[in-house]
Amino acid sequence: MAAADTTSTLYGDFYLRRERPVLQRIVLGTADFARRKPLGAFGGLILLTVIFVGAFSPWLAGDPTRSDLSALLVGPGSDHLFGTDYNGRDIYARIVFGCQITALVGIGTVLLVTLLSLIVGVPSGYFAGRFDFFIQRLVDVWLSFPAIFLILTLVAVLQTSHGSGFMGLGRGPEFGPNPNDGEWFWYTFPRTTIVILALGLVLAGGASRVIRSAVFATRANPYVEAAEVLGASHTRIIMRHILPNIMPTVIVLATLQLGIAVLAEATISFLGVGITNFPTWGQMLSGRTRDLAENHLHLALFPGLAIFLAVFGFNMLGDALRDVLDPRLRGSR
Amino acid sequence: MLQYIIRRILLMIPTLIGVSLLVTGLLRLLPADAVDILVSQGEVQGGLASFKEIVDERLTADGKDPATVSITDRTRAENAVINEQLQREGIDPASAAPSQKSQAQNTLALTRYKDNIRERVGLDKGFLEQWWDWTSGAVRGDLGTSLVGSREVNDELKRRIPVSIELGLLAMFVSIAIAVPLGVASAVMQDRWVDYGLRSFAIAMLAIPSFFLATIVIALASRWWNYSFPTHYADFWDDPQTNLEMVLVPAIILGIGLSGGLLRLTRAQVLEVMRQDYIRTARAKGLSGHLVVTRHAVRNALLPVVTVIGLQVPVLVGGSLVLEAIFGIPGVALYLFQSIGNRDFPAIIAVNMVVAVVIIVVNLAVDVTYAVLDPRIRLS
Repeated sequence: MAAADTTSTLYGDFYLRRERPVLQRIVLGTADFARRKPLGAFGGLILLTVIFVGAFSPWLAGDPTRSDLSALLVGPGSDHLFGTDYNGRDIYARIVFGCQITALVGIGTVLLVTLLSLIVGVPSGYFAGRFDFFIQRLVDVWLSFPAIFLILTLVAVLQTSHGSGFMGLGRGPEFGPNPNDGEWFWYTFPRTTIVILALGLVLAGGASRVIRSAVFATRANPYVEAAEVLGASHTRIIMRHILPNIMPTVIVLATLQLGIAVLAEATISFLGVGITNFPTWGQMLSGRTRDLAENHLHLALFPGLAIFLAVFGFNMLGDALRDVLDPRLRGSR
Repeated sequence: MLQYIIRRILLMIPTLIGVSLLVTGLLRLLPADAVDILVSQGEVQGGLASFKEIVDERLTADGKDPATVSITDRTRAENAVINEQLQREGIDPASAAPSQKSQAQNTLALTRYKDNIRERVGLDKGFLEQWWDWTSGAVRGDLGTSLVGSREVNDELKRRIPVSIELGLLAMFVSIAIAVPLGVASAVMQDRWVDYGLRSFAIAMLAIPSFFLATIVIALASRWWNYSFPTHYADFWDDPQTNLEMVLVPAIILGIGLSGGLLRLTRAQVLEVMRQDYIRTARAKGLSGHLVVTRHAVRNALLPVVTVIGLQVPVLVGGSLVLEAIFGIPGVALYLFQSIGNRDFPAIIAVNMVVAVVIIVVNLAVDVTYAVLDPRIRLS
């Protein structure tokens, strides 16, 4: 990407390097990325599509909760692009609205994971020694659970079948109002928050290890030593020298977590645990779908493909970003 | 080496204590406890017995023997107990309707019934006491009694662990069989279309939700061959055919999911090794490309791959939950899932601990094996 960041004159790269304006650099950088990593750019496009469809779903599809009892289990066609389910609900509309959950849970989880793993990983890697040893034993505990168990237990802890639940986060009503009228968010909010909290807490353990080793590597650089000699405070060294230098790792890690988070959300929705009062992709595959899929394959096919495409795209994007930004991480998941 | 192993085993202890504290702590936060769930599930046959218990206590307090007391005395005591409860609720016993009386009787019985369960399970004790009871039992090999169906968790696990191990080993075998050859091929043909294809394939494998794949497989098997999977699990030694019919397909699906990550790792490791000097030496002395790869590169590259297979145990356990649930395989993961739904504390704690122990022990075994196989590694 370096070549696109600057212009050089005929006299070569040594002098007269002018920085291009920021906007131009972003556009050129993206174009360069797309040229070098077409599959990664494709993944980026999928991410943008999911966010866009999620943000504008009421304008892109009809009511995903409306049951048309005269059109049960209709195959894909002109009336219903992807057909209807066993309650006569439009599958296309449900997939479009499912983008809201995918985008919210995906991005929310990634933000939480990044924040938590920085909070744990940076001091652990920076201060090293006994402090690090102690923190890492706690992380050991954290990592000794299979993720899905901890997620399920956490979701069960955070939700309640009655009352307001943990920290006032109740489950919310079983049937929200029409998602088209704009009120949906506050009905789904409690459960979405619970799922994001559970996924974020669980995934942050492994991510903090990666951050820690990146901090270790950065800390060994002579410029950190130089800053120490000059009398810079820990805060200053971390903020000015460590954090900017582990940014590529953080960005790559976050993108790779996006796919994991979306897949995990779909899995717990499939198990009937997570967000149950709003259409989600995983939920569309659970329940009666499995029994009916034999004769009505479209029930399972479209939501399954939606999950697959989204996770595939996010992974492709993360992979390409890693190759460009942080080759050190290559080979790790 | 021995010193290292001992140190690692000693380090396991705080980790395990931490795990058990975390699980017990999480369960304390659960809003509805097992007793509420049990009662809501209609397990109230104990209710009548509980009421009898209250009346018996009352009779004993009045100096009568509950076993030999006359029916009139018993009825009188029953009425007294109910009237007290009515007064506590602020209802005048003289003018109470029959429905209010039976309501009061139910409340009494249910409260006593719940208290009995709580006492039996130890829910009435404090957090640390509860944790200590469980831990001291577990150290002696007693993992407690399940709340639902009152079965010993030990027996349940003894039945379920082999099932999970069978599924896990088969899945691991499938994933190695897919990932290692393809990973080597991908590395040897680096940056050619085969490589691009295989890398995309690996990412795709990571992205396919196993429940989607399973649904499609079940649907298509039924549609094309009119085949349906057995619904009742059979032990391998009793009925190998049913057992394999039931476990093989989930194991393949699970293995496909695992193979994505493994393929990428194999590729990365082979590429790493191919850059080493001894590979160049082997080529320089005139060894054919094929021999260089099989004799020198793959052997050395597979070492880290083997260790990662060990590290995949948590992923394996997590992944098997979905497949156990779909195919109705009575494994450990499914047991935990059901236990969480039932708030079956002893079972949840036990399964989490068993899995944590397995993960920690496997990690240790992997590290030690790694050091034994690769003399360059110094354990410290």
